Amino acid sequence: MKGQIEISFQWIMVAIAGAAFLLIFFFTFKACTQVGNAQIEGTTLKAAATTLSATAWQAEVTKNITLDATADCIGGVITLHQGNSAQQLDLVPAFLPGTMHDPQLITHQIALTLPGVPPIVLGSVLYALDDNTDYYVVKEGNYRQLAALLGARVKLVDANQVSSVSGKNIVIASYTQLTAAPQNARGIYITNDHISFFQSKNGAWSQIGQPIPSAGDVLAGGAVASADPKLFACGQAVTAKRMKYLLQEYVARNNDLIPLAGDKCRSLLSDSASVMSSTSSIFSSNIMTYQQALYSAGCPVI
Amino acid sequence: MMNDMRGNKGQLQTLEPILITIFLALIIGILLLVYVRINSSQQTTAVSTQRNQEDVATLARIATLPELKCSNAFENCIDEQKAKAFSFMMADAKSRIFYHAFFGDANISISAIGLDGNNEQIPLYYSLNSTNVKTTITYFTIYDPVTNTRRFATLMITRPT
Repeated sequence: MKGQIEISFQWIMVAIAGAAFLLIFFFTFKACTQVGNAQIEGTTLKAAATTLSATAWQAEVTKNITLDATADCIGGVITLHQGNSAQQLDLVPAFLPGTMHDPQLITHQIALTLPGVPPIVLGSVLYALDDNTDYYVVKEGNYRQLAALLGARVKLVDANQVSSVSGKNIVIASYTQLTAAPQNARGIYITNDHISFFQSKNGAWSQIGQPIPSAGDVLAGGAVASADPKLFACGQAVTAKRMKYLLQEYVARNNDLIPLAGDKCRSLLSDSASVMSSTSSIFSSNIMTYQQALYSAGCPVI
Repeated sequence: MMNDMRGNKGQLQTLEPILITIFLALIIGILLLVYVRINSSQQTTAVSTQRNQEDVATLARIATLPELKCSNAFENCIDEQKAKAFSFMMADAKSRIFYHAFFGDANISISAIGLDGNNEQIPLYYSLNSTNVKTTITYFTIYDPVTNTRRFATLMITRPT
């Protein structure tokens, strides 16, 4: 009887020890899995950041990526977040929405063009269009150009039909003042020199932040993609910085070419370099006439 | 004699549950170890494959950068004067930091191969501190806009392993 009780007691002790072992193994296994998952999550976000960075520097690309992440602009730097992982997109000319689900990436080149002459490329931009957002462009002003830049995910809508659009998340871009405000909508009002951001609240538009100085359809497309003044300003600042570096390099190249080139090209290269040495003068002067002159004379073009 | 045997059997019966527990613990421990090893090996392979793909993709993308690509319609062509101007610009730390977003931690250089045996190396971008590195090479045409001539060139990227 005593022996049986002793054996039963030992089995109880063993069961407790076994349970303790199993618990230790379970928590070790769980910890290993969590570390692995965190690494995979971090790797996924890093891979997404790498894809975004690399794609943003290429021209005329359209591709879909699998990604669930949020984005914000901290200290002028776009940062991606996924769970506990964060990844900075430092100095990437990208226009990202605040929340992204399987976004479509579209890139465009910023270039000065003239028919029959090689373009002067001043950079590139990336738009990320969220799969859970419906994008609309109001059929007013330069809407065709904007819709073409944003691709197939964008729908066109008449100004008087804006109030009837519906969806989980909506972004409406317009070259005229927005009047009707549907539910869950962000509004982008584009003028020649400014872009303003709005959010719908109780059937009316409420402005987010101050209008941001901006010009051109390519940047207007960026405003629609980001639908947020802070994220837009972040992308625009990097785009301007890339432009500055590119112009700096073109000027250095032209200056290097001046002593090497023939007599007929020297003055053209010199004039072209002096116009490009200032980012603001490149838009006010017609740099493409110099490019055309260089091209016609058989001189090295940019 | 019989008492001794009963004693030994009793001791064995007493030890039996402990031995089973230790045995099971060992089995579970070994399984866990195998799982961790396989998992770690798969992750290393995935990371290595991803880096290789990134290197090849970066080299292909370099030729599309307006900072380097030829102004004419030649494909896979790098403008020699642009490459030299870019290399000079990269001597400045601020410029290097800006282009780090595209190139990452890497050393990138071009070797223009002359038919006369004179090879010219242009260091495009240098931001690598690691000694444990791997190099990937691809082939391009380098174009001299002054003489309007093209040369065969290799483009080399060195990254940490």
